[in-house]
Amino acid sequence: MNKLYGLFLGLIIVALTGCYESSNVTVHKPGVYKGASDPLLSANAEERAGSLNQRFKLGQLDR
Amino acid sequence: MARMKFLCDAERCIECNSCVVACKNENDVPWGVNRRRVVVLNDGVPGEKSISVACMHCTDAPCAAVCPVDCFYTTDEGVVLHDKDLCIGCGYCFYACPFGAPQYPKQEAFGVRGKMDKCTFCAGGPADDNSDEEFAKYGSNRLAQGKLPLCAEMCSTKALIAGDGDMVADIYRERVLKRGGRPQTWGWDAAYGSQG
Amino acid sequence: MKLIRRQRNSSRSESRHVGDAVDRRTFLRRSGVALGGAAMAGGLPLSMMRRTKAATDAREFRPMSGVESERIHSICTHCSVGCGVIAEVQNGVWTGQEPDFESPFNLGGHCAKGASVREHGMGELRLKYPMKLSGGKWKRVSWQEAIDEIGDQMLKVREESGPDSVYWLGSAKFSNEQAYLFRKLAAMWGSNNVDHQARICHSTTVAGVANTWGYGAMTNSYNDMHNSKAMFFIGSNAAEAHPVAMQHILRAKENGSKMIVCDPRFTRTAAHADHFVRFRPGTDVALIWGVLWHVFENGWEDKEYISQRVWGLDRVRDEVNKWNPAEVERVTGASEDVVKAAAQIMAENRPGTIVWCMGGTQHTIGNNNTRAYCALQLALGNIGVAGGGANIFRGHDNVQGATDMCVLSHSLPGYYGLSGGAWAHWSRVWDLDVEWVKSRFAPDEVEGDGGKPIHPMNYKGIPVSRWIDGVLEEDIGQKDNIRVMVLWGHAVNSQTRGPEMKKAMEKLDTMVIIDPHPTHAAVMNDRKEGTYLLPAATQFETYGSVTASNRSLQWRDKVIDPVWESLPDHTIMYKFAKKLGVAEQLCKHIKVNDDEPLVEDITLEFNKGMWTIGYTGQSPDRLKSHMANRKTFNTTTLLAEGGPNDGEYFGLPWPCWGTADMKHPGTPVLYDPSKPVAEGGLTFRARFGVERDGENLLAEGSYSKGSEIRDGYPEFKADILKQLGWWDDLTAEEKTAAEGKNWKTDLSGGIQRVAIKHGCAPFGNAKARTMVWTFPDPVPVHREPLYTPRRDLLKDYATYEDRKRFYRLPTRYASIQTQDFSNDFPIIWTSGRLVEYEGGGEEQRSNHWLAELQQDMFVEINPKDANDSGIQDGQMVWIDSPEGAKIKVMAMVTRRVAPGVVFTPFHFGGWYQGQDLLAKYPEGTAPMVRGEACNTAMTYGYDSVTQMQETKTSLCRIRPA
Repeated sequence: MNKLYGLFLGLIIVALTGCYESSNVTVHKPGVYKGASDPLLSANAEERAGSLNQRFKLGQLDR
Repeated sequence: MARMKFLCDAERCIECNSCVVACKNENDVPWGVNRRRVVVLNDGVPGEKSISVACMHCTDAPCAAVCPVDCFYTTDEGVVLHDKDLCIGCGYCFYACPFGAPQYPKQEAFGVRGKMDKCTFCAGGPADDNSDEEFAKYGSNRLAQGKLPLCAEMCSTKALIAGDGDMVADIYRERVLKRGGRPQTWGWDAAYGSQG
Repeated sequence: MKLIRRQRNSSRSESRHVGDAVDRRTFLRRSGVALGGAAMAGGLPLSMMRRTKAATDAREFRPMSGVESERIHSICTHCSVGCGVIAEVQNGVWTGQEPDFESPFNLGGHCAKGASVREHGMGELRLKYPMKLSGGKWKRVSWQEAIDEIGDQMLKVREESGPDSVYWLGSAKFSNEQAYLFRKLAAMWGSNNVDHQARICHSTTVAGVANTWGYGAMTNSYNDMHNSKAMFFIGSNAAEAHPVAMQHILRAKENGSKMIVCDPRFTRTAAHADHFVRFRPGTDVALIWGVLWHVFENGWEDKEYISQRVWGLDRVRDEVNKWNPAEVERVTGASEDVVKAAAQIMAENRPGTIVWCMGGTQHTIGNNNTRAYCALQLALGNIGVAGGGANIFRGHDNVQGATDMCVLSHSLPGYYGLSGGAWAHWSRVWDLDVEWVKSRFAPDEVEGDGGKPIHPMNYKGIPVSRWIDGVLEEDIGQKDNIRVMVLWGHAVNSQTRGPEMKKAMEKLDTMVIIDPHPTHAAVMNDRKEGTYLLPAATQFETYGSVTASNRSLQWRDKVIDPVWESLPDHTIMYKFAKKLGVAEQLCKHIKVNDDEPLVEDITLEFNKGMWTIGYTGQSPDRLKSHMANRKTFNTTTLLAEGGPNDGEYFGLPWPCWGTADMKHPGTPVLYDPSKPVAEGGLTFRARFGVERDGENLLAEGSYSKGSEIRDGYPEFKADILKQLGWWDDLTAEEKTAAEGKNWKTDLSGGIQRVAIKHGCAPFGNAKARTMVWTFPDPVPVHREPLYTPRRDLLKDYATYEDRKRFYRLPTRYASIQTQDFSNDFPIIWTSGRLVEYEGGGEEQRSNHWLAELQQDMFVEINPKDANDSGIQDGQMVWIDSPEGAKIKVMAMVTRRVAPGVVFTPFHFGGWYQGQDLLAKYPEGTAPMVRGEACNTAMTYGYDSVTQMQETKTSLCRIRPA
């Protein structure tokens, strides 16, 4: 009985090994941008945010 | 820091294509290339809905992740742009993109043949802001002029909203609240089972 | 090309089944592949078609860095919403478009058409210079040559056949000034054969509505719909025809308004509705009476309102009693629960508004339909209140204005009619001797509509819907047939009966097409000589005022100079006047610079004469101030809050009473007594006398706020002012002008000023009437369309008897309806708009941004009918008409239409009965997208009051091509 139990347990273990999946997912990280630089990036985005928010209120609200 | 987002309110979208035409007009997009499209579900039957779709400027952009030549970059506002000089037109980003945004002009367009082209959130590309070179390759750079994408600014019903994601969400939340939180369309119940 | 075709075929054989339903975008994408190719094969590679005037490079139209941009404000030239357009112009080239956030109408929004207007300035496919057809070939000519040759022809025809043999077909694309000048030019020429698009889009509205409560226009505004609690659309597909209106409609919906759409198609507007009622085309009266049946049955009518402000509703009730739910379902197909739900929504959500468009107007009983809609709203007490009203969406950008200027065969500007008094009034405004004006007309009386003799000056001219019969019919009410046809800004593919039109065109001596594009008219016939094409500038290449659907006037500034050799319409009119010898009279008080009449002078001239509808207060200065300060106007009420126009309504919606000095603010909601007349309030107009059958037609106990007469009263005249003791309120000058005159003919405006000073409406205070005793059907009744599939209903709902003479022409009704076509032509055919195109579609199909989005003429057909006929999606099919014409179009299988009904858009042209007419266009002017004009195969049938053509319901057969 113990033997059978052991075999059964073994079988279950063997069967379950098929369900195993590594939790180490390979995340494909983007590489480092290799193109030309965009002057938009060097401009102060904080400053621009003010005018863009102003513009947003002007155009996207129902008024 | 603001993160730029598009949102299309399907309850307001009437499939009038103004966003598509505004994009073409503003960026001189040639025949056959569509940076923006209107997609319709249930056309002609109860439950008909449409939304306008372009590049969604993903925070974790799959196009950038798969690009073999690393031509993508993200601006401080979260706009995903790319360098056409570097792009090899391989189409891998087209596989990766969940929205079908990348386009590959057959004819010469934007001064280059076969390179990937997509919505820039009207923010041009890696060239001097609003220079003739930038316009020729990438189209308009409205962001640098303190303006938002023309597709949203010209939307006939203000269905398509573009701007700081938080402010976009505020507008949308208010509308949803006014509508009682569910679609207002005739036949919606009939098409998708009655709801509470 | 071949490769593309193979792809399309193979994908179909792999996975598509016959009769599969498909969504419209998929349909377009699929067909687009092939047609993008066709456009190329047609010799039109885009890069080759750029304007070559200044440079050949496409970049000519791109914004240049470091170059100063000018921002110019104009108004969209497509539909009647009146969207503001901001153009960016560099060195005279239109390089960019910006949203006009400040406009209270569109708040920056545009539809596809509005977002594309910059293309007008590129004009790659525009007609570039005057041309004439000589030996079957197009030949370039100079303006002088063209005007001289055409003028000589006209004068010859005038000599031989009289002035009525020249037909002046004008346009809803004119500015108000151009429309006014055009109507005046026709008068100076001496004929009432003048008309424009209003005849074929909303003439039945104007006739029906004006005869119900005084004026024929939209009562409220798009913006005012924010106040509506219910919105009832019938025969209106606003999402495609008036997309920016949907901004206001959907805002209303977010405010809790209920939206009902009644339409034979499940339209894109219906897709946003709370309640949809599908009904058979041509049964509007039955459906509305069905709704009203429930209103009366449940006592939902507004009894107090009716007793004070409505006359004749009891007669309507007698008719409505016949329309019990079973009968409504038998005729319309709409079931009791659906109709009752619509009635209940309208009853429980007041104020509610009704919106209708061409789905309602284009029928032989169009005037019955429009009056039935009015009766429903009157019963519910919904007229004359914010949020209520009859919001009749007009079609073209200035069809309201051109209608008001009466580019119409039956009236002079301001709806004065054609009576001797009307001519006397306008002759005074023009400062011309009325006898001279009369001498311009044919001298001999003819047999008129009722069989009585009538002078041609007073006789309604031939309507545009029937001009072909004016050429072809033998027994007509004028000396001779039409021999010269001037098609000025008008697409012939909006008119029916293609083969007969072709015959008529070929019979004409001379055909003149004045338009930015050659149009379908230039190519659909086999003329070899005597066709002239004159390039007209668009409204972006000139300036002037334009009236939106809500009666607001807006002022356009000139964006760019006319492209190529095109000229503004009013300049062309002046050139003709000069050639025809009437320039001096036409512009007696209008300054002319280098053949261009001064636009502001024209505005000021019509300001002097248009008292009937209050086009008198909108001076150019006031309008320009409104444009400059448009951001100060409230987007719901349209009232300026502060700023230089404080207290005025945007665009001074007519009636803007009195002279400009009186500073009337305009009338935002017609017939709204909750405001004083001086602040835009109004009563119903006393237009139909003071009593009928011994019953009082004047209002009882209802009057506008602040009125010194606290009851109904008739229209104001000099005598009435005297009786009331108000005569001395006039200045000495006003007294001289007003003596013996009334509020319509007093050129000083004194009578209007004094009436308003005492809180009264110059046109009186009456009841609206729901029975128009002068019409063929005084109370609206249902009559089956001429081409009906329901022969079983003819016993009860037959059409009219034929008429010998109606607008100068024999007009057939019963003789057509008694023939049974329903076995061979079993399918009901209706037509309508697409969002990308407008009218005849010439401009938009030549605009590469829009053309790309709609590349095929198609027919929507239900899967059931498709399967029955063995038709699969995307396949070419023939549509056969019972009158023998046929068109070849692409099938689009969709459940948007019900079984037994097909739908086609009406904007296509450039094909004729299966043939692409590409080769017949002058080089470089063919639209990128061409297709069959659906009206080639649309049939006979005209409204019993206005001659509106019946294009919303006919019969056809569909078979695979």
